[in-house]
Amino acid sequence: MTTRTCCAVGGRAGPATGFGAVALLALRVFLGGVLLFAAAVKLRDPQQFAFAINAYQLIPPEAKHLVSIGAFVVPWLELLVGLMLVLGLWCRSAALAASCLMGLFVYAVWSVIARDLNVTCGCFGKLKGPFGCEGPIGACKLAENATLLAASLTLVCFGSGRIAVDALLRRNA
Amino acid sequence: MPPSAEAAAESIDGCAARGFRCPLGSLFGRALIVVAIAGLIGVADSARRPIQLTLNPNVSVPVGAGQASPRAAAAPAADPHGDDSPPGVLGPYVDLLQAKAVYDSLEADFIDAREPAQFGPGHIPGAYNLTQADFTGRTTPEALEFLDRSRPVVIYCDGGDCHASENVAILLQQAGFSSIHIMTVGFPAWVEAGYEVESRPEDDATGGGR
Repeated sequence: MTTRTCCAVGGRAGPATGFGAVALLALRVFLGGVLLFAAAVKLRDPQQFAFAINAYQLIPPEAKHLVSIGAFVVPWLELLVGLMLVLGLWCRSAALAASCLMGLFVYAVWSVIARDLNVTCGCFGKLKGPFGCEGPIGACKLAENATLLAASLTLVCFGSGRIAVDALLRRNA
Repeated sequence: MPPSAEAAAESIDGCAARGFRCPLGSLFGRALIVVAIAGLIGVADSARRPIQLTLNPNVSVPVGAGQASPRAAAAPAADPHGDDSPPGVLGPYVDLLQAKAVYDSLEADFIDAREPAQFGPGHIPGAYNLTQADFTGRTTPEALEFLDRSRPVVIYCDGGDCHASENVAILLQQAGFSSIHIMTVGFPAWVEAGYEVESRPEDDATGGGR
């Protein structure tokens, strides 16, 4: 028996088959690819990402060292989680970490909009994200991050599917 | 395989099927492991590649040191950044009157750190458009080819909570510029004071000079 709808943490959401497996694979590759791309852009030029974090004004000026650390920890987390999602390794845990990250991004973007700050995202460097948002942060960026959050929560619920390293490990267990 | 055994094997870690109790194999435990690994690598990387978030005033050569200073003609600065430069010398943060005096004396190049879409319709005459995004990647920004690194530069953006001028100032400092000054009140104050403004088509937004 395979349960497909369980979203309870630590539940037994079974691996989807057929169309479900392909859909989960596509979702994993999409979300993982976005995270890998964002990580590569930020790690290539951490100074620019640090400027972006600073502009959000969420970290007090006296704790600027946290901005410097965040400018490296966030992209490394995106890189690790992105790789794990694409491979389907520890998929639900990686998706949970991605959900926390996306939740943080949604909060940061919402907070910028609420405070009416003129901030450029810094999410993908000079390039546009999957929604093609341009210019200062606004509703488009909020929708983009909320969609990515929904995608990662979906993977937390349904797992990696059959086309994944996790499925291989389960078969060999 | 019986349903219960299959469910256990498909669980997040399969620990239950093997009769073990392994908290680090749980959904949250593994997520924490991933975050911890990223955190460790990130902290190590940040130690290897330091980030600069504030302009280093000790590196900047002040305008007016040992010469007739434009500040002499300007009112004392109300500097929010605690500029303690001696009278007659411009520190890293300048107010509107100081910036105008430097502009009139032709002692410095002006840099507009706003986006090209804002620069095109209106900017300080002769200003170069140089944004922090121009420093992304490995290529040198075009405007740097026209600027003399030993000459003072005055940078401005929109004033208020605009970080662009400070960010460009840091990047210019890293690029070897020795005398960097930020007009904290920004372009809106320049316009409000009724000073001269120039506009330029967007396809010719980079260049400047007087």
